[in-house]
Amino acid sequence: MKAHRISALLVCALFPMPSAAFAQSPDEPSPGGIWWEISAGAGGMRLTCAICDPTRELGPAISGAVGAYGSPRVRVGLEGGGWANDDGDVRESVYRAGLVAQLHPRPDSGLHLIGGLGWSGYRAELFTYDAIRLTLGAGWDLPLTGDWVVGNRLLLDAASFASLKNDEGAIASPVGLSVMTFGLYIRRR
Amino acid sequence: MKATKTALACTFLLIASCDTGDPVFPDVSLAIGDAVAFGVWAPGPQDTCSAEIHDSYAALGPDGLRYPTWHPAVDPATGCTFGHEHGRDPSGSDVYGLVGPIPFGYANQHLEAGGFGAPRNEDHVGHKVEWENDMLMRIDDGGGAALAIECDLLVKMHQGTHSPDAFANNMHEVAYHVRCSDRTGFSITVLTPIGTAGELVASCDRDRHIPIGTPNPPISPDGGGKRAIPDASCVQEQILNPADGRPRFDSALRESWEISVSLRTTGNRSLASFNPYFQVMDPSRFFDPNASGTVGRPIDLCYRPGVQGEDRCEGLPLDTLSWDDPASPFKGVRRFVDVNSNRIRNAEGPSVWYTDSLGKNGRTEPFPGSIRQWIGTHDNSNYDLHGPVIGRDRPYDAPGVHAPN
Repeated sequence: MKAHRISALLVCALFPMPSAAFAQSPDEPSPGGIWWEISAGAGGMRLTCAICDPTRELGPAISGAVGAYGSPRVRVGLEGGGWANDDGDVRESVYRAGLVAQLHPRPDSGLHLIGGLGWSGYRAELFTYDAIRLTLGAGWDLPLTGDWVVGNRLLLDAASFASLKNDEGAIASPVGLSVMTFGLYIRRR
Repeated sequence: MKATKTALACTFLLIASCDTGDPVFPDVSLAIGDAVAFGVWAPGPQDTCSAEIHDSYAALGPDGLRYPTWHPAVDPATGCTFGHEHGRDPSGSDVYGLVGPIPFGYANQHLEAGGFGAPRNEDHVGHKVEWENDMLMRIDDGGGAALAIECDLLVKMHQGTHSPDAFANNMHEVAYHVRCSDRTGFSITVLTPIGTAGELVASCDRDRHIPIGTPNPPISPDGGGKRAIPDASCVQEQILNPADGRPRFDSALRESWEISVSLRTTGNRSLASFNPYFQVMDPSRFFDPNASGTVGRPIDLCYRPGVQGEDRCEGLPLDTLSWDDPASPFKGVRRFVDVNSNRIRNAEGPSVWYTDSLGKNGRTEPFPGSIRQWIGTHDNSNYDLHGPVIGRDRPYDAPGVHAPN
């Protein structure tokens, strides 16, 4: 059932409705203009190592970002967010912070590509993991009104080459972390 | 002749120490002699198998001696019955291919030669095997969410629950073989002291320590853990005079042998440790200072007013059963093991250590009376690798099985 839901979300994200229905507003943002956005959605998290639980855990995810336009088709900014899941009695969380860039390949399309670099931290009671993280993704803007835009996006956070630790020291190394998130956002540009 | 035996023993020692890192047991036909534990079982009036058939189930120890080992309760070739069982067939364990048949009494055999000042031999029927493949382990403090560590465990504990032996005697043999996906792994055979020698702990009140007398051997050291064994007070409280009038045999007659084993070097550094609880329902004995030999028989309770036909006595014949009747439910066939912690601190190796029978004085070279122990080159001291309960829904009753079992 969960797999079906994820598939449906992926289809929505990767095969958006015809571009004419979601085209960018002709009022292009000017370089240096400020933008901000908030996002909410669902994500699947998995740690990867020889002894890590191979299950991709699902949970809610939220994020926020603020930045400036480098050009009418490029946004850059700072972002932060989190993901959580209750695994039995244990609350698992992933926190993220870093830089983000969003690029519109075509000026008349809502499609934009997302890239990011930052930190991700996994927490489960005494167990912690902190690593440099890369983000890749894509989104689709739907102009709402005026300076407001809503849309959906699919993001993949990937981190590696770090250790899973507890208060006694390293438990496993190297450990990878991936979080695949589908979310809806609202942005003011 | 003595020189020949020594040479053969050395050969076996070399074979057992080959570079696979795991114990290897050659064919039993190569035995250079019999261990003390071999050939001690003889059929009783209710048993239809001969001693010869029984002794055909044998294992070769790393010392080249022939030992008794696991066998089914019913001989598949002849259909005869041995009257006792040794638990789960170890050949189904994923660890079995690494360690081979378990020699029963191996640590007992080498106790004195290893420097202990007295012998300690145990009966045959008390050797009980349990195992589980692919156990998902528990890691506390959040580790269970992040990690998925599986272990294969094969364990043999000598746990006699039919005689007064364990009332006072705390030294019992355990063979423990574990292999885990996080590289935790060890094969340890020791004679481990369980709790205080010369006393038991009442199973219904763990704060009540009951002095029994001088243990055998008298120099038995005290150990960690405890032997929680029912006594007459537990029987009174929960079977003969329960507050609500309902006898509860499982509450009253439940033994829990909670062992705490640590393999240590000559410098007293811990190499590996484990602390499973071996639990038995329906033992065929309880401690009763007023009974003959201080052994009370649970089956006799079934013929007391208010107990007859109740709880575990349901369906029993009206004529009094003897304590060793196969129809008696009290024969210790309902067992389970709380696996608990498995710790290893041997990151630097080597993987082969030699200890005395008590698991102490660990060295990298063999010495007289030493037992070869295998410990993986790993350190898991950063987390507590806890195992689940195994065997709870796996009673070992079989045709012909009766106390003493």
